[in-house]
Amino acid sequence: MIVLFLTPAVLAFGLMFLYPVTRTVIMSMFSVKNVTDPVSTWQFVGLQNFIDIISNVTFRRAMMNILRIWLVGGIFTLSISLLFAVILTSGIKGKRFFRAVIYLPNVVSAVALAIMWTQYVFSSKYGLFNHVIKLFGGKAVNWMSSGMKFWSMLIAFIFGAVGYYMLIFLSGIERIPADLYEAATIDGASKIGQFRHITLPLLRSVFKTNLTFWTINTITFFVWSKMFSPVDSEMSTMAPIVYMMNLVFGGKGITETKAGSGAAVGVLLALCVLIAFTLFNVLIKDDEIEL
Amino acid sequence: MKKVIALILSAAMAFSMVACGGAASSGSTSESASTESTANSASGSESTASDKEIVYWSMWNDGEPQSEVIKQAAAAYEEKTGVHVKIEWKGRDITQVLKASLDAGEKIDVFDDDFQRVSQQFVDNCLSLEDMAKAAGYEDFAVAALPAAVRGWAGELVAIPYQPYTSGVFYTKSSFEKANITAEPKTWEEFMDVCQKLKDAGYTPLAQDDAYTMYTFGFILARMVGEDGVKELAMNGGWAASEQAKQAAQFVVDLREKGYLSDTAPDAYPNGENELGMGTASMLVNASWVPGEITNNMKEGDVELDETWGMFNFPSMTAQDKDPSTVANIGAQAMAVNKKSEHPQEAFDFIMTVTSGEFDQKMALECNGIPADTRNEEWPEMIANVREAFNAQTDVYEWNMGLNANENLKEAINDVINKLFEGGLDAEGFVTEMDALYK
Repeated sequence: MIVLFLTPAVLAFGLMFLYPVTRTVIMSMFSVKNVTDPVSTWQFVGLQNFIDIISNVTFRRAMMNILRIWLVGGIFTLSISLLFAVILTSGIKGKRFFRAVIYLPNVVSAVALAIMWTQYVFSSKYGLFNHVIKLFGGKAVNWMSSGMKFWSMLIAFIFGAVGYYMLIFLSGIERIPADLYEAATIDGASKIGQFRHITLPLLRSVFKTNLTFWTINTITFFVWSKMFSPVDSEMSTMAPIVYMMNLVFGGKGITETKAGSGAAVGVLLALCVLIAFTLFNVLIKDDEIEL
Repeated sequence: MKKVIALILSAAMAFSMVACGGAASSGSTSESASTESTANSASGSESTASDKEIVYWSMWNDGEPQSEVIKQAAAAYEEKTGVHVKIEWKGRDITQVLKASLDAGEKIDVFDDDFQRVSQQFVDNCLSLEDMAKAAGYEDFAVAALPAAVRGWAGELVAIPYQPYTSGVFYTKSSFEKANITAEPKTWEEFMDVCQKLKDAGYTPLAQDDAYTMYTFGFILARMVGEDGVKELAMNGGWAASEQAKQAAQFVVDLREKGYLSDTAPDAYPNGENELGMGTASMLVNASWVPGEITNNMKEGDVELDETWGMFNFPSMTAQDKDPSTVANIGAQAMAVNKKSEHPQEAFDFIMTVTSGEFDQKMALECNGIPADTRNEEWPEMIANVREAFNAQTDVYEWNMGLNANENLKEAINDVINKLFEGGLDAEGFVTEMDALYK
């Protein structure tokens, strides 16, 4: 009977997960033009696809871009969202309103958000940022120039991401019993002291969750890159997934496809997630205290 | 007892799976129905009894002007032949799903996409149309350069191009009038004179979006060294050793230094092209869809643009140019017949209904495009001035005039060209940085 119950799930898992993953890993070691090419036409090339993409300047830049998004964007996003979460749980008035406002960008489509940023906020002539800079007598900045575009995209991405991570921090902080803070207050601990010695240590597992989500979001970074380079992919906004799409499906004016190399990009990205996940598990221990 | 309960549970599970399967399939039907059209939905007429049906996967989205014309063409075709046309509106993402679907044996009779992509990327799935095209006398009314380009890529006619576009320098007539410019420039020298006059009249002479810097630079370079020369540089480098490459970069530097580009150029697309709509800039290097695109952009901002558009071929650069100014990037969409189609002749006839005669004319007029059928004399008013340049064009450049040839370095090349337009590099620095990409 157990077999009867398990068979559909095992079959579904095998067909929808195991088979594509295995096929992708194998494909990454073959020269394959299209995803649907019959296996008989595949040519074994060993690790050549990996060597090719790693030595490709565009892929290296794409990896560097997401590393910068992960590190710089991660520091800002997680710090700001933690700050907002702490403020919202400190007993301020209008908590629900502020929580909804900060989370709002997550409800709006990323495409609409990106258009708002590229066409309005970052516009060189009529944009909000340059308007403010000019009000203070500064010189207009070309936010969408090749040197600035990456950072502009990162600012917009952080804006869209903060609310999501804030909610997770918020739920973590709310799990901490209020009597711990009450006792600390009676003992004379300041708010900063309470944050350092109660909130932070008890949020360790929430940090791990947020870091894992942030890493996965960064590695699968796609929509913002496409929206900041709407006609054709560009170096400054290039992300590995965009690079993979270009390899597998071709790009504007490019008709040669390399599904094998695309699979190699996929395998490398999966490895990155795996390494990051292992590192987080090793470096960040779960909460020692049961709340 | 346990066994009985287990059996009942197993049966319940099996039923629920079947039920789920049913729901899923009906769900998918309704979902696909939302993006499907039939000929009848356009005409509103009763279905003509026929057991033949052809399936067309379209690169357009339902609701786009092109889709409306195609629906009308499908209705007319069905009325005439009794063959039912089922249209699935896939939009531009068709590129990502088409190949796999064709290979998987999905019932698709007709599909379309960019004509170069159809002729190269999907060529293995295309039926040769040579015989059917010959029988239909297609070459008698086709814009000759288009099937020639398809044959150049695919080796034979595997697709019928439609809704062609051409490229060059587009400008607002009002700005030329205000600057007292009476003749369109034919050489770079004349072009720079025109720029000065426009600048004196208070315009930014040339708008430039970041998405099209390769396009503009590609034109400059291809004029001097030809498309093959551009491809050679893009593939193997040697930019510093090429006097023409250095000179091409210098032409861009001159544009910037003389103030013929806006301070913020290259602007984030489409801010640059919108400058023409807002009346602050005058010229733009782009393709024949751009007047319609700018008009639509303005409309989204509640501005009704009342402008007459002019266009001239990208000028000659030097006396030693490899290519004349009559070579341009000309492109099109193209419809092809799946080589596994069970109704190839019907599929071809449907394609001819859309791409020639009455519906080609409608497509041109309603989508502000160029007719693909040379018998169609009427051009949309918005691009009427493109006609002379289009008729004079003698040869075809690929997209970005060969700069896309090196797919490994395409984005890196684009990056350096953007820096050149931004004023971050001089001609010497440009060629040096280009060559550094190949180390």
